[in-house]
Amino acid sequence: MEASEAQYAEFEGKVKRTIYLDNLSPQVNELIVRQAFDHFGTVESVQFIPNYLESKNIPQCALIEMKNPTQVNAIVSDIAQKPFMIGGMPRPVRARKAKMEMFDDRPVKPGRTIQFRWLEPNYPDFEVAKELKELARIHAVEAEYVLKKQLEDEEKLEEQHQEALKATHKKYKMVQSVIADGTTRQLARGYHLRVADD
Amino acid sequence: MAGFEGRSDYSEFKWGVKIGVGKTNKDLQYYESFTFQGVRYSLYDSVYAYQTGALETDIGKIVKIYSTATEKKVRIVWFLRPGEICNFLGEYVPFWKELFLASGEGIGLYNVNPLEAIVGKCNVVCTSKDKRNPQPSKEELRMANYIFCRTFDVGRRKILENFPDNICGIKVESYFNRPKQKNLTRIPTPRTQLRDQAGPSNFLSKSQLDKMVAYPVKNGEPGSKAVPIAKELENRARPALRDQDGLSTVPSKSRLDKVVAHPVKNGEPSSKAVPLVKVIRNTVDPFLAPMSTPDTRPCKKMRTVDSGLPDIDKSGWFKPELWEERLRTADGNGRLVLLDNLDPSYASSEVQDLVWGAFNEKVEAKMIPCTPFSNPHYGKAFVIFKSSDAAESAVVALDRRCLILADGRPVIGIVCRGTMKERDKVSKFVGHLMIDKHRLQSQREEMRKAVSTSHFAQPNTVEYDMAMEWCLLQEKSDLWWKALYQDHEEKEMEITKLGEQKVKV
Repeated sequence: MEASEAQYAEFEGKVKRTIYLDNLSPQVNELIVRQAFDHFGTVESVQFIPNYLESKNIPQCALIEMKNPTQVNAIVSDIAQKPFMIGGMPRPVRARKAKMEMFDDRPVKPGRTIQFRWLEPNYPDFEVAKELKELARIHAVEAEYVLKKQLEDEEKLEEQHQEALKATHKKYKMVQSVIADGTTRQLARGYHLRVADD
Repeated sequence: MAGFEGRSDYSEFKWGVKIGVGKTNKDLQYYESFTFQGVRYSLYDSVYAYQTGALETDIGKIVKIYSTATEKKVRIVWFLRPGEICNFLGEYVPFWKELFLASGEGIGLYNVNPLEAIVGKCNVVCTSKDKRNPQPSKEELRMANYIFCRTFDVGRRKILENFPDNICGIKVESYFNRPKQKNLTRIPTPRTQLRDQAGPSNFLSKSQLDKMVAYPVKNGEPGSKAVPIAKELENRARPALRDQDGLSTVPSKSRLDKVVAHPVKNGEPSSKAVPLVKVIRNTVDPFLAPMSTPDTRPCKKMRTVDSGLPDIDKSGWFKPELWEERLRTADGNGRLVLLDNLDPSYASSEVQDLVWGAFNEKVEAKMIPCTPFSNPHYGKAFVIFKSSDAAESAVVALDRRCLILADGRPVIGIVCRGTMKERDKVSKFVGHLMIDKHRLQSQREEMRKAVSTSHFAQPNTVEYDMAMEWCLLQEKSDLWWKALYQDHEEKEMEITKLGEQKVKV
């Protein structure tokens, strides 16, 4: 498992060229993503990150490797300023620069050895370690809760939008039907108004 | 978003069991133990006490814990450092970690201090050959922060080898090592009974030590001498843990315990009769660095893991679909373990090396990539063991003892059974809206394509406003995850700092 310096450096370079995309719809596939990013630059590869631990309704994430870091920077800043839609509306995707920890096939950092030790229950440090473990468990529960809340918030927002959309849609429908069936022109004649033909 | 309650247990103070009330002064309440800054101190514990401005901490034994109407106090009988009594040492050359227990009458025997003067627990072992003192094992000696075998009479200003019957009004047995028995009394029972109960292990003579070493101690079959040692270890110096963990961990300890007799060099603080013995461990561990340095804190020694694993052909392993297959099968069989609290920058191969070094098991491991809402300080990894037994025992071992990584974090392991969620291909995506079907159909082809093609939202559309609201939500969620993890990190730092204080030498 020895990673040479060169391999590690190369991987670092790759990380710099990669975008981490999330808030992707699960129905989006590689082709769509490629098409989406084609006009930003050359897409080298697309890798979806499978999600094993969380519930199934979490949006997808993907790692997109581009040709060079400048393209990556351009994309990230663009998406940060204007909402970019992939595969549906209106939830925009979120893009950021990728980090080493996002890749699960990353090589070992050269020159680092793993160190560990076992603690027996009567070492003075043992209690501390036990407390840290407890704390970690508590934190995991807290994180779960936060995630749940976040999903709830997202669903609420979507409901609101759906309502708003329906209402707007109804309005437009009404306006359109009124124009279509000639009521508008009749009314205009009655009121001596001009109707622009938009 | 709900706020999070900080857990302030670590600066809290709690009394333990009350054992009496003052006879004349009813305000005085005597206690057996208390919890301060997350650490439980009991009567007759050795502790570090610090005076602001002093260069070093003082070490003493708590002999009384009481509270008045307004204050909490402890009476501490001091251990004297050789440097403090250098004028009276005479010919005597103290050992490396030796202290002297104060005795007699006079200034310097004890002091009554406020509780807050205590900064941590100390592991002080008595090596005196006095018949009333349970002899410590090699393990205990190795782990001791300090030892003492003589007393310094503060009245007569002399170092004495024989301990008086009483020191500061307390029986001298309370100052000696704790008796080695499994029942949970704190007051040591009379010595004669103990000698019978704990068997020959109390007085390890030279020949017995030799015999102990000669038994190859294998997993599951410890030599007969090893079992009482395991019990000793349980009861030594950590009385606070006895209540919960003592009984339940002893049986497993005798299985997992590696009884070590470490190479004792001359000049190391141990009884003079101990022979030079070589290290014997029950599994041959190629990665273990020999623990031979007379370090005052030998427990801090880390084991390094070489990536000495034979080169396994990994070309086919980590193809995504294949890996997923294996994950799901392992999940079903109970061979899948989720390791948590790893260093997030570990690579998958390092995790495999770690498991190899710690458990002697060859496994497949893969780090779980971090997500926008995963903790940036913890890393998680999936580990597939060869058998569900191996997985079980590894998790049990992680629970009972603690596997500590280089920066002090304990590894947590959970066996996954059916925890992997099913991929639902047609799951709904929250946030993508659909307009009425027949509306869509009547639109022109390009319009329809426009919806599903990727594009930037234009500012004059309804879509844009909604998108901005989503962006807002995304930003907010980023912020609350950051806050959560920052909070978590602070809590961890608190605990680690406390831990470091306790083992200050």
